[in-house]
Amino acid sequence: MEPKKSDLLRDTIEHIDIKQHNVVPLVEAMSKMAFSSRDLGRAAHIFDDMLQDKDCAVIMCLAGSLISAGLKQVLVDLVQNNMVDAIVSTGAIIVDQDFFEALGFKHYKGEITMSDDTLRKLAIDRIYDTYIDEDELRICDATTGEIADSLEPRPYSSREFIREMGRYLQERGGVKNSLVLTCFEKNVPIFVPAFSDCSAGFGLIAHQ
Amino acid sequence: MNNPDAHMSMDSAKDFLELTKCKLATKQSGLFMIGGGVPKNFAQDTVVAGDYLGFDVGMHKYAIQVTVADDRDGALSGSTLKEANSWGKVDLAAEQMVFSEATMAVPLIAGYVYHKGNWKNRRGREFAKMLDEKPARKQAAEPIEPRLTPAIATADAV
Repeated sequence: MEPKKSDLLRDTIEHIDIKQHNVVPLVEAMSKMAFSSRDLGRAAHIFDDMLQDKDCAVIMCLAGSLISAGLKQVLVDLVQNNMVDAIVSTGAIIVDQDFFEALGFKHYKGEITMSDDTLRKLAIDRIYDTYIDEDELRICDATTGEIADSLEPRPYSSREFIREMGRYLQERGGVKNSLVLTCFEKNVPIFVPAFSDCSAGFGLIAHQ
Repeated sequence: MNNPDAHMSMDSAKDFLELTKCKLATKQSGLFMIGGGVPKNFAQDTVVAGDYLGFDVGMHKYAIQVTVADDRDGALSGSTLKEANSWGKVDLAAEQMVFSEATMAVPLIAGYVYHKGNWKNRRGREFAKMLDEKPARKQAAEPIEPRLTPAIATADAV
């Protein structure tokens, strides 16, 4: 029997909370091993050095499906605690994933063995083992179009547009744990050089 | 198409200039890269951009990247930070690539620095204040005063 949409969109992806897990002893121990463990330990030390260097601004670069995969709270905590001064990202992370969740939608645990034809018929998009409700994504597309309609017609940097997305979320209220909103509040600019290549692209072509 | 004659549009060169202004406004910079692609190159290129505009701009002093991309196909995503040094983008002293998928490595790296607590003495630079020269809204009540640092004032004069 074919599954219903509600059967598949049931278990949500939960965002890991680094504040709950003190990994310092673990990472220090990994630094004394070899291969990727030692590489990771050295990277962690370098990041810590960056934060202690008073002259150093930190730019965080994001690519890949990070927020849909459960890393949103990690990124929010880094910004909230002054560990990041600017972000450069793909559009999908900022719009399709973060802004999407800020509108109240979720990502769901899925199965890589599921029939993709079944998923398509149910309007469910798949990212490896994660499901997204395509109908909800359309609402996200339309919301970016609404924001575009509210702006003076002129060229904008993606940074300016994403700041308006943050303002929209602040005025909407009730939004927690959003990278776009936290960056708006903390005055951390987010740059998405290929901004039309994401959910916002659909809103923008409708606007234009 | 709702506004064929008068619409807002995206200006990626403006993004590049704004990000370069952030780079010029700070003595040193460090990159924490999760994955590769356009974001990695865009941030690295601010060094070249500053140099191109005639500023004495230092390479990124620190750089770490978490990726599973390979360096042997010549693509940017997996290109080593050592390789980026040949382009004058990244300093060699403090760079490290971690060959890992992000959900494994990022909670460990971020969790480590969070619990070390050295960020408690750090202040955010609030670059957005500097970049918000005028409000984007159609009917904004109060224009936001730009807070220009000397480096940015010079950059604006270019």
